[in-house]
Amino acid sequence: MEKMTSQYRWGMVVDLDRCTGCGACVVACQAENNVAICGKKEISEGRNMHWLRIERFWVGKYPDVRARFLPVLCQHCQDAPCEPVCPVYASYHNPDGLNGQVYNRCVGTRYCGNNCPYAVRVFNFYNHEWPKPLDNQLSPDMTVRTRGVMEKCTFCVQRIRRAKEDAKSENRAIRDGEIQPACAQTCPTDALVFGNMADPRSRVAILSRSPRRFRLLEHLGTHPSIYYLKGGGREHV
Amino acid sequence: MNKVRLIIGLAIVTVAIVAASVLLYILPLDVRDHSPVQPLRFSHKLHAGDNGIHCLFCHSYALKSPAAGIPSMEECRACHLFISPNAPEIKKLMKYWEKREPIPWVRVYSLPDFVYFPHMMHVRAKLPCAACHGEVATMERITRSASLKMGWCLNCHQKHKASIDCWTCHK
Amino acid sequence: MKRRTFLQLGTIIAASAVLDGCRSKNEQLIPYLIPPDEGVTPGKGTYYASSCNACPAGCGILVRVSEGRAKKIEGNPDHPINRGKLCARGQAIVQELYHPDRVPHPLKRNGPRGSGAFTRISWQEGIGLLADKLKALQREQNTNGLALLTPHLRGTLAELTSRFMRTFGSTNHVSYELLTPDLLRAAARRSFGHPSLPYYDIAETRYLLSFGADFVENHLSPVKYGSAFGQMRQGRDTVRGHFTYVGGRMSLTAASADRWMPAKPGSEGALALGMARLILAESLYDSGALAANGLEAKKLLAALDRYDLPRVTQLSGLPQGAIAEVAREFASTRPALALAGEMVAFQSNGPESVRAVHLLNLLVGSLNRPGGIYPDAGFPSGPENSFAELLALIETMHGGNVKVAMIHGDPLYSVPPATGFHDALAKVPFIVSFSSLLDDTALHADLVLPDHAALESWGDVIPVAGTREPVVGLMQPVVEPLFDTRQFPEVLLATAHELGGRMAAALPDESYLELLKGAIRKQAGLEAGVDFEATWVDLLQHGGSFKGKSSKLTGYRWGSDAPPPLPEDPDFAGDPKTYPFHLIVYPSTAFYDGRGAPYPWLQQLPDPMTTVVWGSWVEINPETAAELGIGFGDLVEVTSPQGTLRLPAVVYPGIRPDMVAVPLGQGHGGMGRYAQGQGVNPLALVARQGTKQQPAWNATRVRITRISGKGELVTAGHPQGSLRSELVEI
Repeated sequence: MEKMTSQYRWGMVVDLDRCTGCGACVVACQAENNVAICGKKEISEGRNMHWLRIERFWVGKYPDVRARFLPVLCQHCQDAPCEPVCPVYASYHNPDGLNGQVYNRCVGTRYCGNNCPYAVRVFNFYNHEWPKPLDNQLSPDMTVRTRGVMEKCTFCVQRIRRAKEDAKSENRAIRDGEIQPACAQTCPTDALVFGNMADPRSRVAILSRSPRRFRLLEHLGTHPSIYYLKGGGREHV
Repeated sequence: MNKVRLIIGLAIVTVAIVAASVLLYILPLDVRDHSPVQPLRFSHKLHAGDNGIHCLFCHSYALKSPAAGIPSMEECRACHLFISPNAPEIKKLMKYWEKREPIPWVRVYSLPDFVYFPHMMHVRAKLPCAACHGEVATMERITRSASLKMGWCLNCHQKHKASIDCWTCHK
Repeated sequence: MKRRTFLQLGTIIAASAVLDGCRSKNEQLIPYLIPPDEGVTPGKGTYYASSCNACPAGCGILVRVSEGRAKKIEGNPDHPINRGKLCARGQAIVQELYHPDRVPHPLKRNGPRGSGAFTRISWQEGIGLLADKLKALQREQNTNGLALLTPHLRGTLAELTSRFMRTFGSTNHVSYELLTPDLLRAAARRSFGHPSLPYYDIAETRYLLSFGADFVENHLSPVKYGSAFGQMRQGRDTVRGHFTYVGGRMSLTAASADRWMPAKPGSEGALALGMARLILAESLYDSGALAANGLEAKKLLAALDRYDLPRVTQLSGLPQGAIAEVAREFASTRPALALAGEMVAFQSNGPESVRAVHLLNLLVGSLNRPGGIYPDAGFPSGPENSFAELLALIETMHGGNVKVAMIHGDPLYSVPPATGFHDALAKVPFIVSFSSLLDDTALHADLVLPDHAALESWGDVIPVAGTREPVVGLMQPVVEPLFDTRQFPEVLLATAHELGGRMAAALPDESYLELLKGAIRKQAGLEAGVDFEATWVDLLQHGGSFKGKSSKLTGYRWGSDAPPPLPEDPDFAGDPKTYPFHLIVYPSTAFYDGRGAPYPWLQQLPDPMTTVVWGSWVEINPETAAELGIGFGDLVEVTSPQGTLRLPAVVYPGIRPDMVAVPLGQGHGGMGRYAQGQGVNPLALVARQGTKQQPAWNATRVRITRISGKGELVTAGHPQGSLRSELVEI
């Protein structure tokens, strides 16, 4: 586990009992983070650029079948497999417990992506374009990544940065709920909750102690910062 | 004999490559003009030096925005309607204004797209503008004095115990 | 030259070339001419409140604008419908504004219809052309030769269009949408005497029973009800609401259900009555509620005599035990709530089936109760007969009696060809389209007068449903118009002024903004002397008026003359032997009725259930697929009595073996580079079924044949999920 050098440790809780799989978070993330538009060919090659995807599982057979959804984004592991393999330290651990990716440092070895058990890192195999005037929608808070660079979810670090600036100028700590990544902000069912895990009274910390909690592929020892809450309910038709 | 030649040759090539890399690293590859000629002979010395106008009077957004901003043409005009309206440079300014054309100032300080630099945080930290922009009050034409390289940023951040987390500045 | 010198020289030249490349020029710093308004800080984003018009739900939005460009759309936390939340479609409307293929100026056709050959004209010429055609109609005393076709409009724009048509003297004014809730309104009128849509209190209910109402993706107000669903599940400390879904295809909504009941299409009404009969027979009903609605259990039981459990079992194809269990759970868990949606309504027996669901709510005492249904205050007097009106217009056009058709929206895409609309429209000599992209209709138009994007427009957006208090959202331009376009109502006003006379007198406003402000002022009912400008600015800042006077609607009460609902046996187009499968055409999560197709974010958004991107598909049960030798991604041919389509197959475990489903929204002939040529439009398969008042879009039978293994289906994820579910413990 990392040394605590900051009063914040950002984390998220995903309540699978609330999640309906609607995809609002996917588009919100794409809009907020200048995530590239990928065409049919690119996606058919398995090179989709979404930072947040919704996995869909079919469980059982008709008529006793269920579909389950699992939003998967960077888990911001406390023992992240992506970090030690980067030869140029582009993938690093930040004092707030985030997995950083420094785009201008990345040389595109893709070791991090290969070592990530959650497959949430995406690589720019192409120089992506936003045909005019579509480029007007690009957010100035994020750089546009070029070909050969690995990218991934940052927990909307630009929003964290903004909140830190606001808090600093008012000489206070960041309030619970003050920061919402784009995905959590838009989620119609409130399935995604973001906050400071280091504060035991924060909403996210309270939810992360729920008996329904689990973490993805926990047996790998990655210590993710994202807790999932199992869906409830009966299992028969 | 041939073997020795080969080894020497390889050594020379290696040394040459290393030398070239070192050279590339230390050479001032930042070939942008440090003191470009501006469309108008605007004198910071006159405004900020002789007349003692505070930086934030014109670059007012530096206090609250990541961008310091440059004054709008209307603001320039508002003063110069009364102050030396007949100077040749002021007449140029008024011509731009009449044509409703912004002055195409040449940018002196610019950072790459992947760097986030909030002016307001630096102003709030009581860092004097001159720390990065040099003694502007003595410059007739703005000359960039800082390298704006990452090492230069980090030195200052370390000295002032500011955050040196990559994601503080890289976006 | 020696070899060595050549190399040296070459190196020097190459090096200098490289260095020259590095010598990037200093960029320019362009100052503002005039400083930005107070409160706007360059370098920092500013939020403007507006409203979303991507679907009838009418959510409130906040648009982040930075240096004069719209960057990101978020939900407006103050808006009572969506409370700061927003769906995928709503967030994508920034791509309507910045779409690279927007029509940048008025166009006049100069080639055959549909060829896409247009010449640029000025606005003056464009409006002049339209006005000349209209003047000719006036001269010939044939004002009924003008037709106006729009989607359902509400508020000021609806007022303006109808005043325009009325003053001109034409009755051919039709507002039509494929997914209109007309049938739900008609059913409510028959049951309760007034046609308001139901407001569901999902958040507070403990047992939710949905009959084909896909409230997570498109039914009435998806963000509102999606949010309420989250609340129902985990928003209360001790109670987790239970959810059962009835419908032959597992929709996105059904995927969140605890129990899925794949009933045969068209049998949902009978199933609801079967449950009602059981509740009555076992005395599980709320006797107080029955008495309050003037109903007698005995009489009702007798009326529902036909719907005994064995018969309902046979009709619905569901296990008898499950039906009885759900009925008992529904009746014994209070409050319980039953929903009826479009999947039920668009059957030949749709409205009566919807009424059967009303009866279920009544029996458990869920009318006008927390956790039950209330009359919705969103837009209580919406259309109930727009399909019949459309058919009448088609007939008029067919008879050659329409000389000028003004069309907002894309009916050539969204009206099923089985209605004869396409042929009828071809007979109209002059078609004006107001589309901002060259969609199917605009491609066939003689004149294109492009509308503003939503983020450049003024307007009032009244949510179709999802609220118990009247809500008026306001739309304001958040950026300067990008192109030489004009807002649709502005064009109407300008045309009226051009026509002069009565038209100019009836529509005197100089601009739509003026008209809108007048209307809002009237609504606000300000006393004399109150400064309206201040109120107006306040309304714009908040995104509209959300503190409407409480609804005047009385609660639901079963009409004294309302007969018990008795849905007939469903009727399907196509002989079961030739066409063995039921076809379900459902609105896709990303595109709704096709409006979302031009936006690349939505094309790239994997369909939640199939993870398919950039295309359409047909869903087939695994068993059926195996029987027909169809594999995942194979190209198949779907044939109905109406038409034939080729598209890739998705083997879909959540669908009845006797059913196939195709999502709506793809298959545009135009609409810009991202939509054009992607997938197919399933409406080509849909047969005319049902009556004039009741279109039955889901009552067509089809057959399926495998063509080849090359369906060119692209999925974003592994068909089973790239992580295995047992590994991730869900």
